[in-house]
Amino acid sequence: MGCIVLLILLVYNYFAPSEDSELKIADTPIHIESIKTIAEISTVSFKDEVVIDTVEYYGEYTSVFDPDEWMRVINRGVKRRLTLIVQGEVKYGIDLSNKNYSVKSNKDSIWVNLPAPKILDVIVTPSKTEIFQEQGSWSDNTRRKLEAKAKYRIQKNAEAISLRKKAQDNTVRLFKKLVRTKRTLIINFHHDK
Amino acid sequence: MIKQLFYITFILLLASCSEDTPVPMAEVYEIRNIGELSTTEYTVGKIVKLDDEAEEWYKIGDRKILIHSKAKIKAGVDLSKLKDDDIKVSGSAIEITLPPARITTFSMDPNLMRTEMESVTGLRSNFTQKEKNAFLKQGEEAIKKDILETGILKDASNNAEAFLIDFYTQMGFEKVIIKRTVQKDEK
Repeated sequence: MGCIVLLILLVYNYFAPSEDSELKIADTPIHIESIKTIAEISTVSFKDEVVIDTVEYYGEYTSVFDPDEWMRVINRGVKRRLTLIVQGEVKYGIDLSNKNYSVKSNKDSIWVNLPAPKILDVIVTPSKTEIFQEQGSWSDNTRRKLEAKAKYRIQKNAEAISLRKKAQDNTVRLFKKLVRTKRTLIINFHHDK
Repeated sequence: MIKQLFYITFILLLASCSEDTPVPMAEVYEIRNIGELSTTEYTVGKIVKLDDEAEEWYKIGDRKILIHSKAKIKAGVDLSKLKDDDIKVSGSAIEITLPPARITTFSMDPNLMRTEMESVTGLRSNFTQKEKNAFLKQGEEAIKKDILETGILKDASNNAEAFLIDFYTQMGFEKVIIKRTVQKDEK
């Protein structure tokens, strides 16, 4: 009887689904590692979603009596698979943190020299990352690499539709709003080497 | 021979019940015009701690995990919220009423997350990546809540004020008055 109970326990523990939805993390404090004063003006936001997938297939056929071979048929040859859906955001704008801008004026005109727009942030977070499929056991390192790949692809997608011009136009619009004047406002963008 | 036929039939039956999960394709993106002035950047760390002790009698063993996570948070003011009457010019003086400071960017670089300790005993299953991501999501929510207690919004308001005073002074204004709109989260 004891053996049967033990067997049931073993089978249950092996096949029971993980209880991830119920688990709550402990309340631990945050610690501030650094504080920086910056001056970044973001003028364009690009949001995208990418799918990143890695698959490992079964190797050579061994024997019909090997339980691993049964799984080969059930899983259609796929041994392990990890698929992530990552939503991310890219922000374009100008970075004035180093006071790399200048303003000159006379009675008729105001000249504002600004750095050229660039990517200021590529944002990904766990809340916008979905583990869509996890078949087999995967290491943290592999998941991190897939997430980094997703982040890189989101950035590349943003660069592919050349948002710098749009960011520049929006910056001009924003500065015209900030600089209320009857004088002519001339905004120039200088490109770093 | 009969035994082999039985195995093959069994496997084929099982295989016929399984379905390939299609990988979703996503090609939709969104572009928005914004106007955020970020003036302060905090980098914060948090240990995501989970102690999954077996409470049910049929679970044998414990699971524990510690993950070090890091978030980069920027705060500032949304200049696109400025209305026409928020900027008043009178001769060489200018008065601006700034919108309240808020978090402008929150990011958690996957390369900066690392599992510091992971222990599974008895018959418990290992932590899956899905579970670890769920713990990190909870960590993210906790950081978003706790960061407001650090004074980040006050820093952002102060820095925005300093930046605009400097900017308008360079433009030739002799007097720059910045009025702030304070919201309840600002500490």
